[in-house]
Amino acid sequence: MDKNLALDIYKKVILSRRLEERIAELIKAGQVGGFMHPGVGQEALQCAAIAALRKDDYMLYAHRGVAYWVARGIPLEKVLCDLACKEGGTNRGKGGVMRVVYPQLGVLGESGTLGGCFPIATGAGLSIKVKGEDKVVLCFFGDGTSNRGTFHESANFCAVRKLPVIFLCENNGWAVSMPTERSTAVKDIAERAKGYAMPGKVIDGNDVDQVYDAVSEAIARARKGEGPSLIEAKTYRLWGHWIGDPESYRSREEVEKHWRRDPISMLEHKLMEQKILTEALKQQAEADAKTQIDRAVEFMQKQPFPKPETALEDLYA
Amino acid sequence: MPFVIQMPKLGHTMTEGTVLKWHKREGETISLGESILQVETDKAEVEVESPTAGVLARRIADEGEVVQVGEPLGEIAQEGEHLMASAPRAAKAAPPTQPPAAAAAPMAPRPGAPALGRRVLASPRAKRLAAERGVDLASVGGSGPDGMITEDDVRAAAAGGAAHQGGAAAPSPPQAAAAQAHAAPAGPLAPARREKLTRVQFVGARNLTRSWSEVPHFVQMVRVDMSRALDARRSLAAGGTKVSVTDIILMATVLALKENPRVNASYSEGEMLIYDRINLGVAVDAPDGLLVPVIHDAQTLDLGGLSSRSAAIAERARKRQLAPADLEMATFTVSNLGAYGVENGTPVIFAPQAALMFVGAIRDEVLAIDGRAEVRPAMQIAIAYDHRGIDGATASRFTTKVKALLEAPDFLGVSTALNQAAAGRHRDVLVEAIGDSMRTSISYLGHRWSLDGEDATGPDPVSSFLGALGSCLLMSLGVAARVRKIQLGRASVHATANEKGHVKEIQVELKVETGADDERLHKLVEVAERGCHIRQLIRDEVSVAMTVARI
Amino acid sequence: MRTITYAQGIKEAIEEEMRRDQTVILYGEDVANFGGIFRITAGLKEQFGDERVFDTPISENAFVGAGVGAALTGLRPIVELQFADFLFTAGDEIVLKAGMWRYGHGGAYKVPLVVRCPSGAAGVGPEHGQCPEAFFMHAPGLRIVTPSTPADAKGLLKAAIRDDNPVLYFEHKLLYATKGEIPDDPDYIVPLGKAAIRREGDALTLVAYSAMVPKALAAAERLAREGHEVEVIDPRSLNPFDRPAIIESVKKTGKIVVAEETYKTLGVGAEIGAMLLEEALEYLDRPLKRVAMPDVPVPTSTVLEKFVIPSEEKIYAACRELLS
Repeated sequence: MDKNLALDIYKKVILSRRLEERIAELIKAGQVGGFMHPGVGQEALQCAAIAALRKDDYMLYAHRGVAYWVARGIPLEKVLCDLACKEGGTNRGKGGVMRVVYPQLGVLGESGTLGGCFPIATGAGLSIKVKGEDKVVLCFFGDGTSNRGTFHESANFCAVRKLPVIFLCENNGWAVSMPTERSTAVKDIAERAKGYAMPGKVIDGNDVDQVYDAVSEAIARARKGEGPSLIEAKTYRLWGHWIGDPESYRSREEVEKHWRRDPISMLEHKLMEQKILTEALKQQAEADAKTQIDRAVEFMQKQPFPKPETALEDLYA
Repeated sequence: MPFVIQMPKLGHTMTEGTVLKWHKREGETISLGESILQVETDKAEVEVESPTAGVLARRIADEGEVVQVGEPLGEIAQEGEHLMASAPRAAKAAPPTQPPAAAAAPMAPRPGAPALGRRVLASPRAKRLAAERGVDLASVGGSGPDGMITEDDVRAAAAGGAAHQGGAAAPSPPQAAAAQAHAAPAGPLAPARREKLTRVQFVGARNLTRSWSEVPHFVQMVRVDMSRALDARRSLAAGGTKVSVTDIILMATVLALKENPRVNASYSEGEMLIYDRINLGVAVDAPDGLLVPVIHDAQTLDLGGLSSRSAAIAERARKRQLAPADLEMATFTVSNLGAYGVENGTPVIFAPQAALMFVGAIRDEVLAIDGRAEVRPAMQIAIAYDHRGIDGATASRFTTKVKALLEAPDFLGVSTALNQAAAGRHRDVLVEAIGDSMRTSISYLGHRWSLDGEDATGPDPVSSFLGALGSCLLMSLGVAARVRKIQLGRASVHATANEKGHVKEIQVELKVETGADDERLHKLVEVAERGCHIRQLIRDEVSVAMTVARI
Repeated sequence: MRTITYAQGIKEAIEEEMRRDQTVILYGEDVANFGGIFRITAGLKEQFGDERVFDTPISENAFVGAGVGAALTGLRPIVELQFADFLFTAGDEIVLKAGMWRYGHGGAYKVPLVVRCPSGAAGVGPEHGQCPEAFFMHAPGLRIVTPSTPADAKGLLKAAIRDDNPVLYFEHKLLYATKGEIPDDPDYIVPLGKAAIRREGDALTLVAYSAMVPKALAAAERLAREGHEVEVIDPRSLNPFDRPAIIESVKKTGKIVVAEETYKTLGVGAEIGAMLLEEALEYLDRPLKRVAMPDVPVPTSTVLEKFVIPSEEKIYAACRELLS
C-alpha cells in the first residue's frame, strides 16, 4: 500500500475512534438525544475499504459507527448535527445519525430495517449497468444481516445480471446479543458466495492491507463488468451494540481478548515498523483529531433544532 | 352608525324575499334613492332603493339567499363614518338603528328554529335549511329514516307555511289529476326534462293546494245566450266605442256583485267578511305564468273606465311591469278560458275569496228559444263558491243574475233589437211648416217630402204613419224571410186606422205570396212583427190587429 | 381520437415514455420474453433491448428494492408486479423504502419509481385478487393511481412515469380488455390528483374507482330511468386525493355512496366518511353508504367471489335506499 495512503487511513482511523469516544461522552452526558451504534473495533476495516473507492462510486453503510463517514470525507459537523437531530446535518433532523446521506459522494443513506441495503445496492448497480458507467457499489453489512432474505435475493440478482456490487460483510461476531455461530448455518459467510456463483473471500478485517487489497480486487472485477463479489471481513465489535449496552450476553474475558487485537494498535504497530508512522505523526494525528472534533462539537452545539412545521416537508418531490 | 338596509315588506302578505342581484359592490358609493339590489317576492321582482346616501359597507345577504322581511340585507356607511372591516358572518352585530323586529344577530336562531335543549331528529342539511328559511323543525314531519326530518321535508314545510294571496287560478285540478292517474306507468317513468316552477308559479301552486284542501267548493254552471251582448258590442263599435267581450262580462259581474254582496266576501272563522270594494281579479297569461292582476274599486267604474283599466293591467302583466300592489286584495276573480277554446271548467277558488268565475268560449249552439230551436252564440259560465259561507240559493241568485245581465245587457246603454242598422243612429229629421202649418216639409239625409193635413199636396200624418207601419212590416218580413231562406213573392199590407180624434186601433191586413206552409208563414210574420221598429214603437200604445192572407 | 383497450393504453404509455427518456426501464417477472402474464408488454424487449426491458427472478424484495436503488441513482424504473398482492411481499421495500427514503434523508434524494400492480378479483383467490389500494393510501410518501378507462390508463401511467415520486399504479385485471377512446396527442397526460366526473347529476353523489366505475355508471343509468340523476365521481388518484371534488358534489346532492372493491373496514369509504364529517356535515341529508366487500379475503370459487364483490345491483340498491 502506498505510504501516503496508509497514513491517510491511519489518520482517519484515529479520527473515527476519537469521534466515537466523544460521541459516547456526549450521549452519556445527555448532551445529545440521539443514539449511536458504536463501531469501535471496526474502524480500520471501514476506512481501508472506503479508501479503495472512487469519489463517484456509491456506498451503503451499516449502522456500525462513524468511520464510514469519516473515511468517505463527510464533514464531522454534519455527522454530529445528524446525531443531535439538529439543523446543519445531512437530513434536517428527519433521520438522525442512522441516515447520514451525502449524494455528492455517492453515500445513498441507510435503511432503518437491516437488510434494506441489499436491494438498494442492487438497484444502484442496475443503474450503473443501464447507463453504461464503470462505477461500483460498496455495500457494508453485518453478519446477522446476511441472514435476511434480501441478501440472498440481491446476491442472486446481482450475480444473474452481473451487477457491479461489492458485498462487504463486517463479521464482528455479534448481532446485538446473538453470536454469529448460533444464528448462521455456515461458519464463514463467504461460503455463501458459492450459492450465487460469485467469488467469496474471508479476510482479517482488522488488517488494513488485507481489506484494501480484497476490496480493490473486487472493485476491479466489478468495473470490468464481471459482476458482484462477496468479502467477509472478520473483526470484532469491541463496544456494546449501543452506547449504554450492559453487554450481559458476553463475557468480559472475550472482549478483553479482542481488545488485544484493537485495529488501532495493530495499525500503529504495523506502520511504525514500516517507518511510515512516527510518534510525532501520531501525536499530530491525535491533536488534529481533537481539533476537528472540538470544532465540530462546538458547531453542533450552536445549531438550532429544525422548526417544528418542517416535519411536514421533504416527503414528496 | 351604519344604516342597515332590511328586506322590505313589499306586499301586505309578504313574509320573505329572495335576493336576486346586487347592483353595488362593497365599498361603492350610493346616492339617495339609488337602486342597490333587486329582490324577488312571491309576486314580482322589485328594486330596493337606498334611503340614504353613503357607501355600501357590507353586503350581508348573498345573491340567491332567501331573507325574511325585516332582516338585514346590507349596511350603508353614511358620510363621516369609517367603514368597518367585514366581520365573519357568525359574529354580525344587531342593526342598532332599527326597531328590534329583527331580534339579535341575524345568524342567531331565527324565528322558528327549535328552542335550545329540545332535540329534533333532522339531517344536518335539513337543520341548515330550516335555519335559513325560518322553519320551526318542531312543526315539521319527518319522512326520512326513523322519522328523520330531511331537506325535502323542510322545503315542503317552507312552501306551505307562507302567504295567502298571489298566484293565479289553475286549470281544473281534477282534470289534471285524472291525466296523471291515467299516466300511471307499468314500468319506470322518467321525465324527458324538468321545468322548475317560477316563483310566481310555485307560490301559486302552494296557495292553490291550500285552497283546494281547505275550502269546500261547489260549482254552478249556466249557459248564456250572448247574441244580444255581441250585438250591443257591435253597436258600440260602430258608434266608436271599442270594448271587449271580457269587458262586458266584467261589467255584468260587477253589477251582479253589487246586488249580491255576500259573494264579494271572505269566509273567516265563522264569519263572512263582506267588502264594499269590488276588487276584480282578472286572470292574464303572462310570461312567467298565469297572473291575476286586480282592478281595484271596480264598483266606481263605468264600462269605459273598466275597459281601459282592464287593458292597462293586461299590458303591464305582459311586460312584467306589475307592482305587488297590482296583485293584491282581489275580492272576486274572473278567468276567461274562452281565448283557449275551452268551453267550461271547474274552477279552484283563490282563498280567501269566496268565489271564482270561469268564462268559456262563445260558440254557436242550438238553443231552445220560446219553444223553438235556434242557433245562438252561447257561452258557458262556471262559478265556484266557498260553501262555508255561501249556500246554493245565494249562489244561484248571483249565477242567474250574471246570466240575466249578459242576456239582456241594457246596462250597456244600447238598444239590442235585432236589426241594428238603424239602432243607435242619431236621426236628424227636420220638419218645417209651410205656409199656415197645415203643410209641412220634411227633410232627412237629403230626402225631402211633405205632408198635408188636408190631403191635397201630400198625405196627412196619420196616413203617412200607416204607410210607415206597413213599409216597416214588409221590410221586416223580407229580412226575416231571407234569414230563414223562405221564398217570398209579393207581399202587401193594407193598413187602416179607426179614429175618432185619436188612432185607437189599427188593422193590418198582410198578404203574402209564398210557398212556405202556414206554420212557417205565421212564424215568419211573428218574427217580422217583432223586428218591425214601428210596430214595436206602438206596441204598448195602440192595438194592432194583424191578419195574414195568402196571395 | 382512437379506440384502444386499457391494456394497449398501458403499453403505449410505456413505449412512448421509454422512447422519450432513456432512463426509463421496465422489468418484472416474465415481462420481457413473454410480454407479461397478462401480455401487456409484449414486444417491448424487442423494441428497447435487454438492458432496458428484462425479466427478473422471483425476488420481489430484491427487484422492488432495486427499483428504489435505481431511482435514487438516476433511472426511472417501471417495476411490474405480477399481482398487486405482492406489494405485501415487498412491503418493506414499498412502504419503508420507496415511501420513506426521501423523507428520512431530509429530501436529499427523490424516488421516481413506478410499480405496476395488477389488481382485482378474477377467480384467482385471496392472494392474487385483492384491490389493496387502501392499505397504501394510509402510508405516507406513496402516490397511488387507479385508472378506470383506457384513456386514463395511458394518461395516468405517463404522468406516473414522469412524476418524481414513487407511484403505485393499480391496473384492474378485468379492465384490460375494455375499450375506450383516447386522444391522438402524443403527450396525453392525465394529472395525478384530479378526479373525473364521469356523470353529472344532482340527486346523489356516487364515488367509485377502478373496476367499480363501469358498475357505478350502469347503476346510475338505471336510476336515471327512474328519474334520479346520480353524479358519478371517479377519483382516479387516491394519493393525491381530490377531496374538494367530492365535497363540492356532496354540497350539491346531500347524499353519498362510495363503491369500492376492497374490505369495508378502513377502506377508502372510511376516509371519505371521516372527511365528510370534518368538512361537510351540514350538507348531508342522509347517512353515508359504503358498498364494499365484507371483511373477508377474496374467495376463489366464482360463486363465493360473486357474493362478496360489490356488484352493480348492490350499488343500485344502496343508492335507491338513500333516494327513497
